[in-house]
Amino acid sequence: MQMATRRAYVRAGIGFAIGVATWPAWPSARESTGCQCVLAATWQTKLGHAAGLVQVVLNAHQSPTWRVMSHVVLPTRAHGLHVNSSGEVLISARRPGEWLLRWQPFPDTSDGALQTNLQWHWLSGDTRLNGHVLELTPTDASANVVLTTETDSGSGEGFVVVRSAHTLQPLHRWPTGGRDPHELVVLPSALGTLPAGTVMVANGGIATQTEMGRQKLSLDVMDASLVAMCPRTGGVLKRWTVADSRLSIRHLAWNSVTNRLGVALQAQHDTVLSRANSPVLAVCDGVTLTIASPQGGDMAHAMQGYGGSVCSDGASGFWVTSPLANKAACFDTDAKIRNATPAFIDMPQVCAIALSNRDGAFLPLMAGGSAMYVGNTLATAVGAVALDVVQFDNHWRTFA
Amino acid sequence: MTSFQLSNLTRVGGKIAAWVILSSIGLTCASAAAQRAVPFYGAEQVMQAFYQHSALPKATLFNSRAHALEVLLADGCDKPDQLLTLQTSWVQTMLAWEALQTPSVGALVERRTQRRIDFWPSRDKLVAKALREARSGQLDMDLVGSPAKGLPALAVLLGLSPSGIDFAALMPTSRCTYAVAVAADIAAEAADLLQAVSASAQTDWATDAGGTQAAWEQLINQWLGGLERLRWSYINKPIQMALTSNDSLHTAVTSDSIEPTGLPLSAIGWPRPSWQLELQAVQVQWAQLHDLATSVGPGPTDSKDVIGLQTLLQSRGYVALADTWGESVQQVHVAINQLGSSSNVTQLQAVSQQLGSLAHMYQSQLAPAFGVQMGFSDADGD
Repeated sequence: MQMATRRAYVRAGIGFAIGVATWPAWPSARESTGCQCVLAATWQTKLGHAAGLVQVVLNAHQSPTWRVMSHVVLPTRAHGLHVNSSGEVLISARRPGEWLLRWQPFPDTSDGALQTNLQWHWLSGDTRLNGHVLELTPTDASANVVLTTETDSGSGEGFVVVRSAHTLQPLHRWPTGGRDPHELVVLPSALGTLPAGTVMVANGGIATQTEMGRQKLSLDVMDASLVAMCPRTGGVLKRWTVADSRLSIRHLAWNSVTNRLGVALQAQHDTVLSRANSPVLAVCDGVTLTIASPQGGDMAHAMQGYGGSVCSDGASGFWVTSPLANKAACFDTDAKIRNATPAFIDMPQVCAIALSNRDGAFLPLMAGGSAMYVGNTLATAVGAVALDVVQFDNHWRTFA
Repeated sequence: MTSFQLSNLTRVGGKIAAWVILSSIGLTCASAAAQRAVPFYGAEQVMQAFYQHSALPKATLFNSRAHALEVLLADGCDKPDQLLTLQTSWVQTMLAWEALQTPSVGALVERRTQRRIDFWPSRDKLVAKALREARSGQLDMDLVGSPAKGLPALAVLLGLSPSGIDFAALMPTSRCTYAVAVAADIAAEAADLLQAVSASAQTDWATDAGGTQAAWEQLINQWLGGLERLRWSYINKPIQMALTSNDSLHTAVTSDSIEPTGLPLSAIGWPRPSWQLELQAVQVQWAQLHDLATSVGPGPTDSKDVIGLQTLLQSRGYVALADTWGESVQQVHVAINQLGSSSNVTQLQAVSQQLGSLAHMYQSQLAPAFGVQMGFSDADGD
């Protein structure tokens, strides 16, 4: 099913068949005179974990509302999502993760056949998922592949694992040259001398051991880096590190206005003060990785050294969220706090962030706990499923 | 003065504080256990008791069973009438290992023993390769990867676990040669572990405050790690994998749940070779967790007991939490001991849910009370 059809479904608020269940129609989507945005998201409930599509309705004269259009149950907590060009949602388990899910919200049931809309893949080998996934459409005629960041349980080495988009089975393992690779993006256009299609990977640099869960080990020998990898061979084309070895490089976002890569950082220093004074963003222009100024100069605006998620601001900068500081901050491409209003948004536990386009005006859609903000306005949850959300997970993606 | 303040005061005087009689002042839910005289226990006492009264006996048992299995295989691997004896010995070794590895701390983590001798699932291709090497006399166990050795691979060689290996195509002697080598590898690891655990049991944990604190924090973390391993790896994950297999005819996936519709336990790929053995493994693991959760600890006249988490809570003044914790653990204890050969997926999922609730309580209430940062937390960032 193509994107246009998906959008048409969403806009019309038509009910959708999923497997053996049917999604309800949403009258408000048709009645609304405002615009809407749909997000692919994952969250926790009192009973477990779920993924779904979240519809946000933005009205000029009313406060925004959100509801869950559809959802599926997940076996454990999820982390990263990716929406492919066919409107399928890929979801990765949180690290150390053991499952991948391809969810097709709009299966083609026109021939009357019962289709499963869930494709599960369980890892049984010696690697574990690190939480982020994307689907790559090669520029040549070769088949799509799915890329995941993973850690070898034996050696602790980081890999980008290339998987068949059809079966999700691994095809190749590309060493990322570091530990703890986390988010990855494919450059939509050139970044300096790096061509479009280059795979950018954030090596978090933190050692872990499967037997000890998510415990961070040997922080004094962290080796975080940002690497550019060839999409055909997996070879490392370029590598950047930061001077402060206690900064973990974790999340990435592309700004298509300035053609810059935003890189969210998480401080792993021993003291609260050192962490609080640490930057949360670096910006890569393909040559240099420029680190944001330390935030300690204005503690009221400090991000506590924790960049939870990052996205473009739709103009020339990036939004970075910090659930530890209960704050989102907007930076320019020099990694300085933007001289804009608002440059900061206060929101408890804010982490997941994506951009909405409201009549050409870009607003960040953010989740913190079970709440959603549109810009700095709290959106109202509508419906029983929305009210069941206990906490949104760290990331979400614009679906339509 | 509350009980918390009282036991805090006991820390001031030295490493072994005076006995404190918990006052009834401020205690709204004083149980018999809570009213018992509970001293303040330091990390050094917890570790000393853990290694002497829990880890050392379990390492000793595992070592003796692993050694017995090696000897039995060397003597009778090629005798068909010995197969049942060998399989029984494997089960005994496996259960002793389950007890020792719950929770995995100290040498078990440093040596990565779980990975060395319990890599599951074993890989048929690598096992077959090792068998060919055994046949040609080129077997070098140091070069054999974890997926081809350890207890799961030995279960395949002993016919306990199904496999796609064409044993008929291989000479029977190579199977025995390799099985003996795998058993010897396990026994060697068991011996090394016993040595390391013995050293820990003889350590004076009062001499190195920093190291002792780190070991204690690891123990607190790994108790939850053991619980999560039991809940997820041994119960919930195999069920979820079976229910979400795309060719499963037993699953009804709706937007609200993944529901089993008559999925037999025998159709699930458990870490242990059968549901019967899986059940024993689950109950042995839980028994260790239960002991560490609720053991009373040494009394005034001294006893050979570990200092359990409930006692530790009481000793630090968290009396109400200790009571709630004890009750929650007992509920899980009853549920797990009710599991049997006729259990079904729904019952197992309920147990998994209870274990999940216990894990949540541990993360959200016990860990903060102990002041320990959890490595298995589901609540931290990423």
